[in-house]
Amino acid sequence: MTHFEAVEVIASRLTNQIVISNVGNTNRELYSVKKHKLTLYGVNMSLVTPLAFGLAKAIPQRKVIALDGDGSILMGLKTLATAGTHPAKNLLVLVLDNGCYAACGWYPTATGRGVDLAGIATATGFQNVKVVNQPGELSKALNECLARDELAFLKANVESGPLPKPLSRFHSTAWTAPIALGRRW
Amino acid sequence: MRGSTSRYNLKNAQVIYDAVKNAGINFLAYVPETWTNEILKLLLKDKEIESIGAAGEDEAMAICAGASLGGKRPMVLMEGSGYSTGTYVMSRLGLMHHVGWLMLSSHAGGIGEVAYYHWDVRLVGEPLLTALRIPHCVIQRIDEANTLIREAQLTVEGQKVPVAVLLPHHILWEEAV
Repeated sequence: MTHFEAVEVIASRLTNQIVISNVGNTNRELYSVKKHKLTLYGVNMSLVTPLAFGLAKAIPQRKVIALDGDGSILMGLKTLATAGTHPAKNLLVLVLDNGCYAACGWYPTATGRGVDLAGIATATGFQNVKVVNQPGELSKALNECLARDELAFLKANVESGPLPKPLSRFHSTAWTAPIALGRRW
Repeated sequence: MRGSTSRYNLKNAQVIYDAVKNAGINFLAYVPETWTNEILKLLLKDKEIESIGAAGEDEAMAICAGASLGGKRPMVLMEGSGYSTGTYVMSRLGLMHHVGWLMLSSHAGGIGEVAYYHWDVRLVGEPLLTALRIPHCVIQRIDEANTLIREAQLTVEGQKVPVAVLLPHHILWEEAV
């Protein structure tokens, strides 16, 4: 499964979920495929999952997806421990793991050297942990995670590579989600 | 030399807790520390405030940023050294994405600090907040606490920026005579 194929599957499932999206190729590809009003695009490395976690705690009635990458989640690995021990039933941590820093030259991350993120998620208290390798598996697992009221960690193993086509010019939609949620200020 | 003669100023801790409540704070992410220990105890007893024990100040800030996006009035409680740890979060989420949250911390490295290991915090704490243009203030008198914490939260909501309130040694501790 290519990174872009995984993003296409994810985009096809987005309705009223809130998404916090990682920077880099994930961000550009997702924005190109779907301009989702409840997605906060371009959140910097290590901040995706803690931001999504705080949001999930604040709005427990809404499903929140942390669309993270292996490099980003490794940079803020402690958040798995925090989220695992303060479970938010509406949080899905979805990691696209290509084992490398794809946006800057495909240098390997720790997962590219064998570190098991799903094992870490299990060890930190996530009860629902899934690993998928094919688009069909991702689609099925994503449907299950979105349907269940349970903290979940879903890792999609993807192939790194060049971006598949010219992508839409990205711009920040930082304010879209709060406005759509009817934020107080 | 200060040290074993210091004890927590419980009355002031209560005043600061009351000020936090008056400001409407209803979400807390914290990293425990010595100086603000009594304030944290009061906050953790409060069932109206959802509390998250974070593994680092940077993470606590990012969690509060998310809670802020979700409509909560969040606050980070931490040691003053956390501003160094959280610089990246304040600049990325606070300044770039215009998300605000309140930060209440000890003024480690400020007036009254005797610990040599906070020497670096004195050098980079407030200067760092100034460099980032993060609004901040130091509570020098306890009778200022309610006003300054309330005004700080109003700044968070109005300016959509993180705001820091620092608590020096003489506010949090008292000396046995």
